[in-house]
Amino acid sequence: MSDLRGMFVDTSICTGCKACQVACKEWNEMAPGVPLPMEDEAAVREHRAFTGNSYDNTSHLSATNWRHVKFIEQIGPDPSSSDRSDPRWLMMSDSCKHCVQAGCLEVCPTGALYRTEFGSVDIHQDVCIGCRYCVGACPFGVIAFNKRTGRVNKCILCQDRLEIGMGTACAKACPTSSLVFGTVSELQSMASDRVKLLHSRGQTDAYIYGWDLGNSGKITAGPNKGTAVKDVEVVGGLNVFYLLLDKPEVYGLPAHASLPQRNFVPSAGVALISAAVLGVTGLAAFRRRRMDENATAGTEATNAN
Amino acid sequence: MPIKYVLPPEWEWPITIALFLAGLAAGTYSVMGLIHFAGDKRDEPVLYRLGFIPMPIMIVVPLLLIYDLGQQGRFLNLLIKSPGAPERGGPLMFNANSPMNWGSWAMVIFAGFAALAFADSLHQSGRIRLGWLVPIAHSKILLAIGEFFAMVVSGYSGVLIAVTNQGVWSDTWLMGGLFICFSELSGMAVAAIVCDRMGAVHTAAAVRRALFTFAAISAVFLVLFLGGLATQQDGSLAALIASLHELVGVAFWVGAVGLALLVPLVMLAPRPIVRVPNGSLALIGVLVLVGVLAFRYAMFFSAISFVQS
Ligand code: SF4
Ligand code: SF4
Repeated sequence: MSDLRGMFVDTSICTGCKACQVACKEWNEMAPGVPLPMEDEAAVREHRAFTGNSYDNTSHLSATNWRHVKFIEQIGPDPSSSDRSDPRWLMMSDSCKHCVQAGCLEVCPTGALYRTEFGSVDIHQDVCIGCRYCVGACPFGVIAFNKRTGRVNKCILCQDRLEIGMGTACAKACPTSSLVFGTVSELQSMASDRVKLLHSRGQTDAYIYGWDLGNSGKITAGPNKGTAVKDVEVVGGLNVFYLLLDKPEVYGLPAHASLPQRNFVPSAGVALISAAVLGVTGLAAFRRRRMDENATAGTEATNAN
Repeated sequence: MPIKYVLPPEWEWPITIALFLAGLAAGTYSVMGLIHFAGDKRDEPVLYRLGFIPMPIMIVVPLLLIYDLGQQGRFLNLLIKSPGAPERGGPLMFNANSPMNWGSWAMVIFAGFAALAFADSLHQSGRIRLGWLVPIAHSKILLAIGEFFAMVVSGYSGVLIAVTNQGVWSDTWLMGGLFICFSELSGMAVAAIVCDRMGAVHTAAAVRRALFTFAAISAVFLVLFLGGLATQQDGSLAALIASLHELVGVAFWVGAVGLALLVPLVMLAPRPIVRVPNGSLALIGVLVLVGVLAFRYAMFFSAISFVQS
């Protein structure tokens, strides 16, 4: 499957300029969105408000932010301390991961979500019914409901550009090559070389999130300093994968993402068992009545004799 | 607190009510099955009165779903393959991995059985002569198949929410079982109301016993559910308890635990714990129905509010 397309996101060189986020908005013709006041609870819930705790004011992927550059501001080991002598900023340009096993696609009841010829996960907007099942199924909180259209949205890996031989708009705009578009196999070897280079320079915290390419190391700074990290393959692999410098949770990524289908057969099995128990006890309730009546009739007959 | 990274699906009240009603229709149909298989002639008046209930409800359910989705045509994409999704083969839409798709088909098929029961009840009431239908409507094989689909409708929404990555919902395998229990409880509550209104003392005797037993089984499932969450490493139980505040908390503790479970357990115990005045079976049924609706509400909105908080 060498035709699979994806992106390698090297967070070690992301400067948080948000050029990718702007390029995504521009190419996909999404409104810029002005942050609303923090007092607006609905806006906070929908990630449309000022965060108040970060220089990042997008705060989360949403139906109109298909790409989001996360700012992870680690101001010393104790955030409440006034000691700001050892700050660390981690940046990560996040989007749909175009999972090899995609929870969203698995549960979609209409076929609106589909796998493209490039291995990415796209949405037929005219087929989506807005049931929002995929929203709760995505382990990364990527796909989001668009209240305006009544359908869901997420990064579609610039399917329209890929079809005419172009790469993604975000990667094109990235001034530091933190985002690289290409075939997944080429990107994997590029990522492996990059981790090895960083390790050779003493930055041993670099590892890959999305594929297990055999790298491991130790976090060198921040609150998790000294913690061992290693490459992690997630849900069968991510076509958009990351080079990280701290634990996945620090970037808002689950250490162990899982497919929603893991629960299907066991849950259905338990449901069948409970149906059987209820059926048998329900039948017993009606049968017991007959037995009670027979017993009463028997007693009356005995008394009459 | 477990760290979850998912977004809430933002399902709203029409979905909650639609799934409660679908469970109610399926539960009522299940009670009819019990009477068909284990009842006697004296249960028939109640049986045929119950037969009028599932079909109208199964007409309201898709209307609520359509209201929630916003466009009538969209609902059909759950069943008929849209030309806009050429990757899928065949004229019908079926995704075996999607409990929502299973549930949609189960509802359609179940609605057919509900219609059959409705027609049979019409015939038995003497309003319309449909004698040719009786052997079909009373076929034990068809009734068993109808029961199966009723059970799927009762429980699929529980399986559906377990097959996500939402905190609490996906941390247990018991959701489907729990939803079946509460759906069947609601069906038996409907039977209790009908028995009471009709003065069907004979049927009421069995319904009282079944309502108590279903409440006991539901309580066991609820305890297993909470116990199961407590064993999760990531603090799912704490997350659920924390989410049970304000209306959601009232719905869970007062509605689901109090009205749906404790009311029948206390008032219908074989050795009465409290003296239940005559004619209170209908009231118990109504309280149980309110409790089951509250259960649905609490289950849907506890996990959603937890993710949002
Ligand atoms: S990241 Fe989420 S939305 Fe994207 S393909 Fe994976 S499961 Fe689907
Ligand atoms: S909201 Fe749309 S894409 Fe998501 S599961 Fe429903 S139909 Fe599929």
